[in-house]
Amino acid sequence: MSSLFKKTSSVFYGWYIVFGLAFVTFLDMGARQSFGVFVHEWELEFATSVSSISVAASIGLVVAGLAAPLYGALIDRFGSRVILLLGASLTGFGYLLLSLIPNVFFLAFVWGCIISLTAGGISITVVTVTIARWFDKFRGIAMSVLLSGAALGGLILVPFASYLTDIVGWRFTVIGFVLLYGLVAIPIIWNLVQNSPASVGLVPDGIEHKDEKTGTNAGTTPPLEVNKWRNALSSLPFWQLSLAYVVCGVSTSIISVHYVRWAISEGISSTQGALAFGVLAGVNGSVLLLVGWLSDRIERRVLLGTVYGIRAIGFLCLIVLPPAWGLWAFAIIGGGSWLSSVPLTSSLTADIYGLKQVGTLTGLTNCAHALGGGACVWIAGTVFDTTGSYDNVFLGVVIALVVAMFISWSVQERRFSGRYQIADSELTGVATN
Amino acid sequence: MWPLTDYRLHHEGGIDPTLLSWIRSILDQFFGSGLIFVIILSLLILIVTVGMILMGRRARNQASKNHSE
Repeated sequence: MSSLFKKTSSVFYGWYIVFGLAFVTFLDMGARQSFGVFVHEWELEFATSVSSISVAASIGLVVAGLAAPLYGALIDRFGSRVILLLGASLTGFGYLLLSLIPNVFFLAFVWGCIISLTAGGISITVVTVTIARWFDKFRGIAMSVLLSGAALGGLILVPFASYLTDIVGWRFTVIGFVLLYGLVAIPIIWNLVQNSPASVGLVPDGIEHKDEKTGTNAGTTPPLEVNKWRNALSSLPFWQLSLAYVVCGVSTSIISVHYVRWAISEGISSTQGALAFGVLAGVNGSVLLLVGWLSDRIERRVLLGTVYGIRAIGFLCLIVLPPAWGLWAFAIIGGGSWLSSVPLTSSLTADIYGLKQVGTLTGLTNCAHALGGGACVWIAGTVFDTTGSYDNVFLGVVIALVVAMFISWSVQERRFSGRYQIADSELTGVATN
Repeated sequence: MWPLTDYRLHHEGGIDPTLLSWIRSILDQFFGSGLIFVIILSLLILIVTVGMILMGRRARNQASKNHSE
């Protein structure tokens, strides 16, 4: 079989969806991350404690984690366009309810249950799966561009929410979020997002792999493609990717919570610790794009393992270097590996198991990522309270990351990934001709 | 509950309060006041939204036209 590549248009329509969803994700993550801005306002207005407000936050954490596979299954069944539209509409409605809450009990219900559940419809799980269906050859860079919106959302919209709260109060700031969903997110999804390239007469990447003999688009079915998500559970790559992803959740969650606290415990000022965390976030965005670009050129498992290995070195710096050096070394080394595992894991899942059940499978791995991370943050805090040091926690994370590195490297990508089935068929064609 | 609180406030809070106040001090120096930042960002969001929708719709119509031809 031989094939030829044919470009169908100058700018592939999928890129409009990538930038549209990156913008929606930017707004959604920014709105969700503004929770912290309102905590002090709620404390004063509801005469309650941070601890009580945290109940809402904790419920939301569990609900959002558990909702991920549910939304994954819904996309597989109904397509992502309708789920994204429903998710954005209901989340906007949730924020409208949030602007009306009279006390902390309603906060727990509206934030913890309604918003955390409905926001799953425009979560990372849903948007990455949407993009996975539009791209094959350029899946890595497309997902990285998409996730850069998430990385920027907090840095730009949280100060926006903070200023707006000073000017008009928290209730009108929340109504501002309702307007963002109603006037920005929903119109973008409605006008731009389509379930698949075929729905507008295109093919993934905008590049046709045409079979010269039949004139049809050549198939790229991976050997492990599943029609039922349960079938993936009996295969090794799913567990390899999921286990490594849990370690990813553990390491990122621990550092998100304990990085500044670690800096303070080592005699570094909280300002310097927070600034280093800001540098980490900035490095993260730029390296994310580089990793996405590379992942379309070399084996994704190699990059994924390397990302975990680099992150392990970052954690090791926190243990062995003097604290002031370790702080900045981690900000740069750790920042370089921060979000990069997300597009690589999502892309590999789609490459290996095909697109039919990719929503459910991505949702399952994201659920494990969120719940595993949350639990280990609690364990890390307990260890610090008991021993007065983070060294044991960080050492445990280094070991887990090294294990994740070897697990990722051991994924048989060339054997199972659809990407390499294309290459093999072309090679076969060349040999035959 | 505290570790989970911290977890949530960092993930949902996104930015450490010290970092947030640092970002705000830079924005204050640049824009003069928070109100101007809010107005400019709101306008930018609306302009990007309208531009993205118009360009996207044109590209989709073009793609559909090419396909039907």
